[in-house]
Parts: sequence; structure tokens; C-alpha cells
Amino acid sequence: MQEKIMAIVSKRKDRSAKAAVSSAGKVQLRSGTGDSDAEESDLSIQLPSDIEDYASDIENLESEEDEGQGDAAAAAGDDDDEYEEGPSAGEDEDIADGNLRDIDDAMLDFMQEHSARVDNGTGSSAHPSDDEASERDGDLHPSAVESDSSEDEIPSRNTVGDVPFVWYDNEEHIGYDIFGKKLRKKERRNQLDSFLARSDDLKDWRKVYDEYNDEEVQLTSEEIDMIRRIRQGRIPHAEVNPHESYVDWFTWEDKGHPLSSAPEPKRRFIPSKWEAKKVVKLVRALRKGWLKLETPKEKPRFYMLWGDDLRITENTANGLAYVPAPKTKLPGHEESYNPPFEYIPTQEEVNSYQLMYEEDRPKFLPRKFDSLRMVPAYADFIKERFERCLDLYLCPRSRKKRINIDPEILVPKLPKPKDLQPFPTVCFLEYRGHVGAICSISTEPSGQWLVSASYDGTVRLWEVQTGRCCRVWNMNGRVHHVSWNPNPQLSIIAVSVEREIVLLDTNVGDEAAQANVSSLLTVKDSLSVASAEKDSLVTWTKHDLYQAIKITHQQSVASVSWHHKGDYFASVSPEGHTRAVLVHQLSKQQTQNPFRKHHGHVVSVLFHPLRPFLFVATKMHVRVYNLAKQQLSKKLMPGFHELSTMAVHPSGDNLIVGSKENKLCWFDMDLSVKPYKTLKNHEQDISAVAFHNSYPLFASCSLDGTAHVFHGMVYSDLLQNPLIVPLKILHGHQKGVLDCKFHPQQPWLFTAGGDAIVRLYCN
Amino acid sequence: MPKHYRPPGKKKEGNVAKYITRNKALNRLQLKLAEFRRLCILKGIHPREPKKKFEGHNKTYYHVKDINFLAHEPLLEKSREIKVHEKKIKKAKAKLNRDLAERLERNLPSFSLDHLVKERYPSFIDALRDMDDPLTMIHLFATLPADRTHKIPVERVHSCRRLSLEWQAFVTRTHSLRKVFISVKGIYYQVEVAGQKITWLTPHVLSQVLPDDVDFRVMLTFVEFYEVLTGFVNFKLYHSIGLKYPPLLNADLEQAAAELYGMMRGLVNEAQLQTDNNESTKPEKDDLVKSVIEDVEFGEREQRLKEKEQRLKESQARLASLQDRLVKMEKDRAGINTETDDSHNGSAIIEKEDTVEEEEDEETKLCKGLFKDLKFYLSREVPRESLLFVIRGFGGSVSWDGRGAPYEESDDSITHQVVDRPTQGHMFLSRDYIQPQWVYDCANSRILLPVDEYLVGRIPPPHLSPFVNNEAEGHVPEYAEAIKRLQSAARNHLLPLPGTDEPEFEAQQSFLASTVARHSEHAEAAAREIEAAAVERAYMDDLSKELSGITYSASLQVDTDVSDDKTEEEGHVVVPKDVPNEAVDDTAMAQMMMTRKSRKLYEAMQMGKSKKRADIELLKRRKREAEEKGLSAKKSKRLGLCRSWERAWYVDRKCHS
Amino acid sequence: MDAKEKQVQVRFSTKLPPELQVANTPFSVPSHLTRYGLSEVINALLGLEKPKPFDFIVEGDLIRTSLEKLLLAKNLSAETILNIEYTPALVPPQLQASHKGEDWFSAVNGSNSRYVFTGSYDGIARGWRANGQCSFSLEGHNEAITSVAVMPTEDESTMELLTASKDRSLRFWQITDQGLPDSLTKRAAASKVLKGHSSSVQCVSASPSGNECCSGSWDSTILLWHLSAKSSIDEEHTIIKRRKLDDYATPNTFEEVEVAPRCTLKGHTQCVSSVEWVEAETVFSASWDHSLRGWNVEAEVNNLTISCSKALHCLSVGGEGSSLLAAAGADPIIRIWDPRMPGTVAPIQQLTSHKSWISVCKWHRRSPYHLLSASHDGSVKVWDIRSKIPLQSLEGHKDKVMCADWWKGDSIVSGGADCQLQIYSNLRVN
Repeated sequence: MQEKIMAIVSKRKDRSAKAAVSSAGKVQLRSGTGDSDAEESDLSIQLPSDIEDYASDIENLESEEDEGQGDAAAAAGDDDDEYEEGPSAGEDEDIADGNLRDIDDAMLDFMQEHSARVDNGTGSSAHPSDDEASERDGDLHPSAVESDSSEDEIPSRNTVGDVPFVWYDNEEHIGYDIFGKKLRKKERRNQLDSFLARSDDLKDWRKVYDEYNDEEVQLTSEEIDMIRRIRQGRIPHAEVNPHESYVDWFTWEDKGHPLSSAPEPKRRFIPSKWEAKKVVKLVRALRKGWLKLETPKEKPRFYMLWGDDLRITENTANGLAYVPAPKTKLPGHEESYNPPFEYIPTQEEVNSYQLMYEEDRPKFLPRKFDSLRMVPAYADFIKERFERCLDLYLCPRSRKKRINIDPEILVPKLPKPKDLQPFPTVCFLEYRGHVGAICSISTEPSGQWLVSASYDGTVRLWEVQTGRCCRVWNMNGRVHHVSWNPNPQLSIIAVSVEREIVLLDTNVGDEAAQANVSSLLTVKDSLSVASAEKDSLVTWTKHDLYQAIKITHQQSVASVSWHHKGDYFASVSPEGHTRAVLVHQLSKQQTQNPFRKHHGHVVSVLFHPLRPFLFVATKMHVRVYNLAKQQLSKKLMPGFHELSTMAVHPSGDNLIVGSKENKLCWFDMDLSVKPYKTLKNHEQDISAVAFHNSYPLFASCSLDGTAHVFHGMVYSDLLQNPLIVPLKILHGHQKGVLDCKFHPQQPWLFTAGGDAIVRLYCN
Repeated sequence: MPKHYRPPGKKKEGNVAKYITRNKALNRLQLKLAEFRRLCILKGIHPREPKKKFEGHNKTYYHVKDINFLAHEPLLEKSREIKVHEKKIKKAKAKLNRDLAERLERNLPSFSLDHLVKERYPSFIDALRDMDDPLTMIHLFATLPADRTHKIPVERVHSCRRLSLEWQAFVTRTHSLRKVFISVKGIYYQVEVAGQKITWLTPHVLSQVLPDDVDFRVMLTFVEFYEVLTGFVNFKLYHSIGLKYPPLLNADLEQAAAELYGMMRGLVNEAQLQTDNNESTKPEKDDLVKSVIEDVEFGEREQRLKEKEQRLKESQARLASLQDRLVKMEKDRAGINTETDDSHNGSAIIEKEDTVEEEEDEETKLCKGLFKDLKFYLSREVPRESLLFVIRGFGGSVSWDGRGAPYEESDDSITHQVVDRPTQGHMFLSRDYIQPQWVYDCANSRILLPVDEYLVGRIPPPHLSPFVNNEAEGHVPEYAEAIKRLQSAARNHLLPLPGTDEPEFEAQQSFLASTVARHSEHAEAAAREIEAAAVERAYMDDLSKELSGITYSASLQVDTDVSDDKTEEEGHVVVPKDVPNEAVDDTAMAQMMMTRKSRKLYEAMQMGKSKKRADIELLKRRKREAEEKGLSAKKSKRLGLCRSWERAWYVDRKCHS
Repeated sequence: MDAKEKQVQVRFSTKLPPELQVANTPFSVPSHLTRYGLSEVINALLGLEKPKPFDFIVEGDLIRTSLEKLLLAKNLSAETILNIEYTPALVPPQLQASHKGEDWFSAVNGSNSRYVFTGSYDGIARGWRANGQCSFSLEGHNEAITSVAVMPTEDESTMELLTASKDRSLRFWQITDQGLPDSLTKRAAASKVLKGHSSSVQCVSASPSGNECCSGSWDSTILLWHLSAKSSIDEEHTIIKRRKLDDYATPNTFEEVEVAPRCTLKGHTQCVSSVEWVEAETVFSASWDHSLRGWNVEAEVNNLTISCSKALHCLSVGGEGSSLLAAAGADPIIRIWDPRMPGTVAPIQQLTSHKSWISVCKWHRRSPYHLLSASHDGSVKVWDIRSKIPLQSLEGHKDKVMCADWWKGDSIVSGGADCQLQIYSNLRVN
């Protein structure tokens, strides 16, 4: 057994100091000394060493339990992160139970050895021992045994701290009491009498030497019993019921472990700042309304939004015009499920739809169902709704001026034509006889006669009233233009045949006039010679067939226009560049070229009816020359590309110009050089325009076979603009109308057509 | 220096200052296109046409004011908030912070569109004016299936259904339904509320296929706004007739797919609460019979009141009309029209002249009296909801085959049973078995049409659109004429002889009227010439005949037809030669005096007119061909109408007096 | 004819000899009857074996339409008895003779009962027999003859003729019947040449007194000429001038006397297209200046001016009291004025049946109602002014009818641009 104890001691030697420090019991350990002189160690030393080993082991047990508790506490307080506990618990544990086993069998041998001697009276233990026992009890079982306060009052005599007793080995004292007096070592009795004393003392086996206080302590029977229980591995205290009914002191959920006996850590008692922070957060959230505890009570969804005013607002809230979405078109009969049969397209129509282009194919084909139950669901319903939605928010809306007026409102309100009588309306008379297109006509000043020139090379004289052709002159050549001398006394017509102008005597008129005319129409040779030698513009010669004068030009002569006095006349030959316009004098039989150059292609020439002005129309412009001052006085800009004809109002201040782009424009020369009015009235080129010289009428004729008659009133006061009213469209010619002239007195219009007929339109 | 260069100090002007392209607007508002679209839809902001598209024609331009308006819209802030909030939720979820997440989800920032409604429609009339599209959409969504793939939420569908029913209930109660039209696309209804004509289209009660090329988000945004709008409008309307809103629906009637009816019951009860508060209001029970009784008796009470005042009014009207007729007689001796116009006319005149809403009232009276003492029974296969709506809207009482029917099929007092099947097995003799179209046609023509063309198994006469004005259209289907005749018969006016197509004739007159009027003088001058020539020729012929020894009586019959066909051909020779030519010329001359702009406009109008005339011609041609094929049994139809208009007239009398 | 046909009470009366009279008891006839029917009624009443067309007059209007139309037009009530006078209707004349000339006929005059005098565009005036034989021709004008007038002479043996021509002169012919065998056509020379117009003479008219004439011309003047029946050599105031005419077609030479106008009536502004010398001192003239004027020859003043809207080509004075003016011109309407009404401007009647210009209109010399008109549309129409429509329309010509006249009271002579001279006869106008 000796070596057994030694084993225990040796175990104790390599044991770390910490366990000893942590032990609760104040058992003085002398093992160190025991170690030092192990060879000469005696039992008296040995046993206590056993005991103290055992005591220390008990410490270990406690410590184990502590650890367990600590673990439990750790497990419990897992959620909160502050839990400090020695990590060494584990290894302490296994060492401890290793000791436990050794202690057990050591004690068992000891008991068997002394089992023979059964002592019945346990004998009252000495006070200190009791105290210590009780003290230990208190230490051992704080919860089970109520520790009285007496053990606190009894101090241990030795006040020397926990110092190794080796220091006191060769001293007489072992320490000091509280008064500072040395505690004397008891004198050692020698081993023999100590053995004797032990052998005759029955209770000796239960004595334990307290080295610290240097005294022997006798274990009480409870302590023995406790030791035994310990050695049997049972719960040390008898009165502790290991299987007492389980009282659940705390909630199990969210805690992994049962209640720990660990002491409440400090943090349990001081308020946690984290919690404080959380609380502050929540409070703020509540105050700020971030988190609402109660749901807001349900108030009615709809309420009286509008007052009772029934006005209609035009503007949106931001002051823009409110454009309500256009309503969808209401369905017609064809959309019915059972439309009238005429709304259903026939088969061939449907096929023709298939041939159409995608866009102009009808979107919706009416169908007929015999009864309501046969009507299928309309596949495109949602699609159409969707498109409507798209229109509603994607299409730019703008208030279009929806003109649902009767188109007749657009028609300008003009005075009724029949209030502006008289004007030519009906054709009563036709002058037939030409075989070629009639290019030009002209009337005798009194209105009894009419002369017409045709492409068939003849010039014919007509009696206006009966339509009888009284004379035919056959110019052998293409006749361009004919015009009657405006002077009633001179019944002369000027005919332009290719490159010549022929002045013919019509011999209507009385003898005196005839004589005058014949005298005029005899060529004065001197002049012709004179003109001949300076290779002049023209040559005046006698006509070979008729008693007439022939004026030969360089180029072909397009038109001739007389001065109103009938003495001068101007000829236009478009190709003759600088000689395009020549002015001839009948009485002197002279010819002069008033212009050095021309701006463009001269189309026609007119004399001003009253003043010495000459209108020269080129393709683009009309220039008005003052013959007296020999200078350009005006330049009228009709804005056309190709003028064809012009006519001047008898008062001389207004001019109408016809163009080849079907337009007619009226110039008020007092107003401006721009047209006062431009009318697009014809479908084809305008061939001629004409003014009536007494009635407020003018007319235009065109290649589309019609002649338009207008009311053109020119007022005497300059403030009032001319009034232009279209009066009548005269149809009748099969081909284009090439010329038109008014009757000098009557409100009648002569039109010469390409169909070789001259027509007379009367009022 | 480029033309559009603007010196730094100078502000923008004109279109550039007023308008902004969509992308710029997006940048300015810092929105995604989808959000912008949603905002625009809700706020009713649409692009506008600038005078000059300064950034090209392929762009859409918004008015700057509109955009600023959007920029100050609280919804904009809201939407941003919501976006942020959703981010929070995502974050919380990502952090497994469950309670935070659900707390956030619990209080999503909520927004309301009420202010938008008020802002877009400052007055109630404005809202009513724009009700067409909302109603159509609501009715459409009420029939749509709640669909996950297209994100059509269930509650949306339900609320749409509810709103549509509330609307229909209001219409039924105020009898303001005016026109119904079954088209291939669906059923059009037109009501007249507060003087506004509101037309909407409901799809046929068949399952809708949801197309994939439709962006339902857009439609849902629209519906979102339309719900609010319709809700407010309904509220106002219910309030205006003194009813509580929202009306309480009857659950199991709803189940019985007779929501309208259920709601009507609700209305009736409320109305009772409000009309006679002295009598204790019975707690609403669910047994139908009782409710029906209540309904009926309430209806009758109302009827009685209405009739009383109506009778009063009519008597006054008669008196007044009598007086003014006397005055008229004294005034002018030529009192032909005074003989013809009866008390009905007179009253109409009087009411017209005293107020507008009076004659409105007349209209409603006519509508609610149409089916007054008729009892309908709908069999299973007919579109129940629509028929319920129409019949009740025109004052009839109706039951149906199914749960919650107020009375059984075997009820003897049923006058009409609406069936839509090829043959009807067992027939009660006491009632007419008619096809649904009869109801609609009667409603449109305001009279009870003869039923015998709508009987079971027959092919009903064509269903005409009540929205077209035939005279303006220029082509009158013959059934329209028949109805016209019946109407005039019902109002016992002079009946034009069947067979004279005078509406068509008038139409032609009105077509030609402009030209003819303008060239009347030519025309009648020509006419005078013609007849003078005719007389002269007749005289010559007579003389020659007489000289040749033929006696007058002998020559009579040959003479007559010869002479008149001669005059005819003469007319044909002369008139076209003269008048239209003149007409053409006059228009031509007028046009040459027009400005270029107005000339173009004029030509455009003429083109439109000619187009219209062309398709009228097409219709007539088809009709002619069909008649040549003998496709239309015209004569028989005429006869049938003539046989049956007395009956119609009789019924109508009954309704009116 | 159905039973509910309206009946009209009528009473017939007539101025015809008693064998053609019916009892003037009123009886009722169906109101749809026209002239034809009524005439059958009369025929039935008279029981004529051969039906005879009658014409019926109600309140001075010929019945041309049915009775009901008539009642409506005159707004008579159907209850009162309608007094109807009936006369035999004018039966269409038949073409008696037609002659193709060389040139257009421009003037015809039927005031002589034995001959028809015509003037044509070849400047030759001719005299015709009823059978269409040209009995003589008068040459002298070298321009177209525009108008022919016959001087009323006391003895039937000598005929005095006036022709106006476009050569600004008139000629006065005296034709004695002796030297005119009916067989061959011989030329006669003009006894007087009336020169004074400065432009072509358009019309001439002889005074009823028989020794004066007036002429209108394109120089818009009316000249009055004094022509004594006797040879004018001994007249002092006329200038005698002898000269040879070397004109075409007259080898033999003889003298011709030029006469100057007695006086000039100025007032017209345009061509005087037609003149007519009615009584001793009144001359009516029509002109292209849209006016009709009446002149007092003694005072040489214009005492009446009626203006219409169209240029006038022809004028005729006649009708009841031979004082109605019928004029027509550049439009297809014949207008009839009554100058006796003070301040007349509007025509009392307008006759429209022609299609084109009217070249001539002439009153019947005896009948107050009948009038003929010729037009450019190639038709000659006979009118009764009691009816709006012509009685007869003679479509014989193929071209413009330039001239027409009554002849011998029951015939119509017309000449035209188709060089045709046509004579229609037995036109019973009474």
C-alpha cells in the first residue's frame, strides 16, 4: 500500500499547481515535504497525504461539477456573447476521475483492514475538527447543508499564508497567530510512543494530522461515511436524493441545457447597452412612424369628388387646351351580326379584295349569322382595345378645325350672272365656209362686217347679221392674223401672210371713204425706192392680185395691231430679234423700228387706246413704253412662263394677259405691276383674250374649246378696285378656240375655232 | 453660322421653347420609359403636334408644360419611394431578416389616384363625356380570366366586374338606356346620362383568348385609372338618385350569375329605406321570393306615383295643346297641319317649349314604359346578362332558367319567352317564343314590333344599327322603312302607302338639293320650254290626227301613252343637255374665283362626297342584283308588316295611355 | 277614264253661220278634254259626216291644254259655267310653188295681189307669179338687195317698187303692166336712184300716201324720200344727172335720176334694221340699239321710244286696230307692244317657239290676231296671239329663212338662204 500512496503522491507531484490553488478546501498540503524525504517518510505523513489527496480530489470533483455547471452556463448563455470560463475544464475532468478511481480502491483496502474493529460509539469529535468538518461541509455542499455562521468566527490560528512549509522545517514555530505570536511547534514524540498511542487508541484511524495548524484532527463518522460513499462512487451526502422529482425551474425552449448552478454572471444584473440601443432604435422608429403598430382604419374608397357645377372645362390643369380623345366611330349596319343582305359583299367582291393591296383592303368584312347563338367570340376584341389604348396615350392629339360645312359655303359669293346682263350666252349664228382652222377674226367698227383669217390661206368677209360670206380673198400663203382698221372711215384690213402684211380694201363704206382708201392703198414709189436703197426693214410694194399694199418683212409676221386712229400700225415678227416690233405709218407708208433691242421673245404688241403708249409682251413680262418720251414706263410681271396674248381695257388702265399655262391675269396698272387677280380658268392654253369696248365684259378663249365670259367692271374712282365675275362658259367648238372678239356694239362674242367655224354668241 | 444658332443670352422661342421630344422629357424627368408611360397614362398626358417638328418627323413631341406638370406630380415621388422601398425589402430578404422584410411589406407606401381624377375631370360632366373608353375597358376586364402569365390580378377582375354591375344597375334603375346593338364585335349599349350620350361595347359572353402581341401592362395601367374614375362616377350617380354607394350585393344571386338582379334588389331595398322611412325596413333576407315581392311592389308603387304625375302632366299638356291649336286656327286659315297633329303632338310641342329636361323625361318615360306590363322568361341559351339589362332597363320584368329566378317557367303570366334554339319542344300557348333580337329591335325602335318574324326557328329580319342616320347615309334598308312605318302607325300618324320609298327619294333629293337649288332657274326655264314644245307638238299631232279623220275617243288610248312617253323622252333629251351642263359650268366658274386653298379644300370635299355616293351606289347595286336573284321576298315582308302593324299599334296604344 | 273624273259645265257659242251652230245649253264635259276632245264633241253635236277641226276660245285665249289646267291657270271655279266660243281651226297650208333661185333671197313683198316681189343677194329684184314663175327682174343694184317695198298705187296697171340695197342706195322702179308678157322675163330700169345713205341700206317702207318713202340704214339714220308719181325731171329741187351706166348686163343706156333725201331722222345709235310707215305721219323703226322708235314725220321728231334688251331685226305694225308693234331680233322671241298704252316698256306678249334668230315678222293684213314669223332655224311659223303656241309651223326651208310675207291674204311667201322661194297657199285666216 505504501507504494500505492506513493503513486498517488507522485501523481500529485506532476500535477499542475492550478488545481491546488483552485481547491476550496483549506487542507494544508505537506506532500512536498513528503516528497523531499520520501525514503524516510513515515506513515504519519503518508496518511494525511492520502487524505489530503482525497480532499484535493474532492476539490477536483467540485471543480468538475463546477466545470459542468460552467458548461451548462456556457451552453445556456450561448446567445449572448459574453461568457468567460476557463477552457481547461476538460482535461481537469479526466485527470480528476482518474484520481477518483485510485482514491476509491485505496480507501477500500483501508476499510477492509480495519473492518474487524467495529467501533460503535463514534465519540464526539473535538471542536475544531467538528468545525472543520462542518466547514468542509459548508465548502462541500453549499446548497445542501445550511452553513451556520460560527465557522466564520473561528479563524485558523496560523496566519502565515499559503507558503511552503519547507521554510519552517528547521524553525520552532510554524507560523504566527493573529496577534503575531509565534506558534510553537509541538515537540515531536518519538515514533514508538506514537505507535503505541495509536495502537491503543481505537479512534486513532480516524485521526488526521493538520500540518498547517500543527494539530491532529479526528474525522467524524459523517465524514467517514461520506468518504465511503465517495469511494463507492455514490453521492457523498446521504440526505441528497439523486432521484428526487424534477422541478423545472426555468423554460427549456431556446436554452440547450437545464438550469445551471453556475453563479449568475455580472452582466445579468447590470443593464445591457445593446439592449438600450435597440430600444432607442425602436422608439425612434415608432416616433418616426417607420413601424406602425396598429393598421390604419379602412376609410371608404370613393367619396363625393365633384360638386354640382355642370360646366365643361376647356383647359387642363396646366392651362393647356384640353383635347378630349376622339370617340370611336359608332358601328353601322354592316357591323351587325345580322346585317341587311345588301351589306354583305358577294363572293367575287371578296376575291377582288384579296387582289387589293393590304392597306386599301377593307378591314372588316360583314358577315351574316342566322341567329344570335351562332355568333362566335370576336378574336380581335382585346387587340382593338389595346390599339385604342395605344392611340389614347401615344397619338399626338391636336384640335383640327373639323370643317363640316356645306362645301357650297366655300364658293365665293358673287353677284348673280343674271343681274349682270347682258352678256353672250347662246350661239345663234355660225359662219361656215372656211376649210381650215380659223386663226384670227376682226370686226368692222360699226359691227356690220366680220373678217376672218384661216390657215387655208383665205380671208373672208362676213355679214354679221345673216352670216353670209360676202367676199373671199385668197392670199396664197399661210395667214397668221387679220385686224380691221379701227377708224370707221378707213375700211382697211391688215392681214399678215407669212412674211408680209397685206393692207386690203374691203370697200364697204361710202364713196368718199372708198376714194380715200384707194388713194391710201396706192404705193408711193419714191418711198419704196428710198426704203429699198437703204436696205430697210421692210419694203412697201403693190399687191399683185388685189388692189392692196404688201409690206414685206425679213421674218414672218405673227400679228398686226392698229393704233386707234388707224394711221399707225405695229407688226410683230417674233424671229426678227431687234426688228421684232416695227411701227408702220399708213399715210406716209413709212416703217420704223422703235426698239434697239428686246428683252426676250416678243409675243404681241398693243397700242394704248388713249395715250401714246405701247405695250410689248414678251414671254415673261409686259413692258409699257412711252412713245412720246421714248422710254420704258412700266414693266408688268404676271408671273407666267409663257404669255400668249393680251388685251387692253378701252380706258387703257387695265390689261388682261393670257398665258399658255391656262392662266389669265388682270393688271390694274394704277395699282401695281403685279396682277390684281389671277384666274386659272382653262384646261389648256389660252389663245386669246378680248375686252368689250362699251360693255363691262371681257372674254378668254382657249384650246380646250371653250370661251369664258367675265364681267370686268372698272370703276371711275381709283379707290374702288375692279370687279371681276365669271359669267358664262361658252361651249360648242369641236376643236380649240383660236380667237375671240366682241361685237363692237352688241354684247355678242365671236369665237373662231379650229373646226373652221366662226360662232356668234348672243345675249 | 448655322441657321438654328441662338446667341447665348437669348432664350428659346417658338416651338423649340414650347415642345420637347420624348427622350429629352425622359432625361429631364429621370424616368424609365415604362414609368413615364405609366405616368402619362394615369395623368392623361399625350403628345402634341408642334407647328414645326424641329427635331424631325419621326419623333414624338410633348408640350413642355405637360412635362413640367409631370415633374411636379406627387405620383412621381411616390413611385420613387416605392422603388426604394422594394429595394429595402429585397435587401431584408437577402439578409434573412424575415420580420423586417414582412414589416416592410406590410407598410408599402400607398398612393391614390383620386387627385388625378379630379384634376383630369374638374367637373362631373367632363368625366361623363369621357366614360366610353373606361366603360368598355371595365366591361372587358370584367370578363377576362385572371391570368398569371399576363399578370392580370384577380382582384382587378373582381372590382371591374363589380363596377360594371354597379353602372348597369344605375342605368337600369334610371331607365336611361337608349340604344342597343348586337354587332359581330360585341354588344354596344348607349345610355344618356345627364344629357351625355355614353356608348360602350361589351364582348360576347364567350371566353376571351388573350393574344400575345398585346402588352397587358399598358391595359392594366389604363384599367387602374378607369376603376378609380368609374368608382367616383358611380358614387356621384348613385348619390344623385339618392342611393347609398356602394350598393350591397346579394351573394348567392351573384352565384346564380344574376348579379345585376341581385344588385337591383339591393338598390330596391335601399330605395325603400330612403323613400318611405316611416315604415320599418325589414332586414334583408336571402329568400328570393320575398325580395322579388318587395321588388315588384316597390316597382308598382313607383309606377303608380309616376303614372299619377304623368297623367296630370298629360292632361295639362292636352289643355295647352288645345289652346294653342285654337290660336293656330285663328291665326291661319290654312289649318291642315292643325287637323293632323293630335294631342300627342301637342303635348310634345308644349313640353319641348317649356324645358329641355321635361322632354328628356318624356324620353325616359317612353323607355321605361316600353316593356311595362310584359313578363319575360329567358331560357338557358340566351345571353342572360345582356337581356336582363335591356329588358329591365326598358321596364319589363324578367326571369330566367336557373338559380334565383324570381318566377318559374311555368308561370302563366309570362308573355314572352326568349329562346335561341332551332326548335322549341313544349310551348305554352299564352306566350310568344321569340328570339333575343326581338328585344333589342323593340328597344331600338321604341315600339313593340310584331313578333311573328322573330319566332323560334325563323331567320329574324336584319338587325339594324340604331346609330346610323339613314337619311344622312343616303341608303335606307327596307326593314328600316318598315319600322318607320310601324312607328308612325303606332303614333297613329298618316300612314304612307307601303311601297313608296319616299325616304330614299328624300335622300336623293337632299343629295341633289344643293346643285338643283343652285340651278333651279335653268331647270324651270328648261322645263317651261319643254312643256311648251310638248303642248305645241300635241296640238300639231291632234290637228293632223283630226284632219286624217281619227276621232278623239278613238285615238285616246294610243294617244295618251304615245304623248306621255314622247314627253318623257323629250324631257330626257332636254334636261340633261341643259341643266347639269349649267351646273358644271357654274361650279367651274365659282372655282375659278376661289383662292387656291379653298379650291383644294372644295375639291377634297367633293371627292369625299363622291366616294360616299359611290358606296351607296354599291349597296343599291347589290340590292338590285339580289332582288333580281329573287333573294329578298319583298312582297311577303310587306304583307306581313301590313298585316301586323294594327296589332303593334294596339299594343303601343296600351303602353302609351 | 275613271268615274271620279271631274266634269265641267260648258256652254258653246260661235259666230259661225247657223248650220255650224249648236244649242247654247250648258252641259258638262269631262275636264280632262283638250281642244281635240272638244272639237269631237262639237262634231258630234253638229253631226258632220266629215269631222271638221274646231278651235275654242275661252276669255280670248285659245284652248291648248286640258280644261282643268285652263281653269287652274285662269283660276276659275269648276262650278261656274264656262263659255266657250268655237271657230274652225286653222288647217295647215300646202306648198303651192317652190322655186330655186340663184342666190339667197333677202327680201320678199306680198303686198301686191298679182305678183310677189323679191330681192336677192345678187342685187336683182324679181317679180313672181303665183305659180312660181319669175315674170320679170329688175337689175341695177350692184350689191345685195336688203328690202323691197311696194308703193301703193291707185291703178292696178302700174306697179311702183322700192328696193334698198347694201350699195348704200335705194331704187325706185315703175313697172307698167303693158310691157310685161307673162312668158319671158324682161328687165326694167330704175326710174329713180335714191342716194344719201353713207352705209348699206337695211330697210325701206312706203308711205300710205303713196308718194313718199323712208329707209333705214347702217349709218343709223332714217331718211325720208319724196317720190312723186310723175317723172321728176320738172322738179327743181332734185338734181338731174345723166350718165351712162356701164354696169354689168345692160348694154343699152338710159338715164336715171338721182333723188336726195327729204329729211333725216336721227336718233338711233346703231343700224336701223326695220322701218314701217303706218299712217300719214307716223313711222316706226326698229334698230340694233335695242330700241323701237316712233317718229312724227311732219315734225321730224321722235315721239315714242320703247327699248328692249335685244337687238331688233324686224318690225311689223298691225294686229287689232293695226296699232300693235311686233318686233323680233337677235333672239328667238317675238315681242308685241301696244304703243297706245302710255309709257309702255314691257311687251304685252311674248311668243316663243323659234330656236334661233328671227329674221322677219309680219302681221296679217286683215286678221287682228294672226302673225307670221320667219327665223334662222329654217321655219316659218303662223301665230295666233290668243295662244302661246304657234298655229302652224312650216319647215319647208333647209337653211335660214331670210324673208317671208303674207300674200293675197291666204298665202305665205318665204325666201331663204337655201335660195328657195316657197309659196304656201289656202291658209284660211279670217
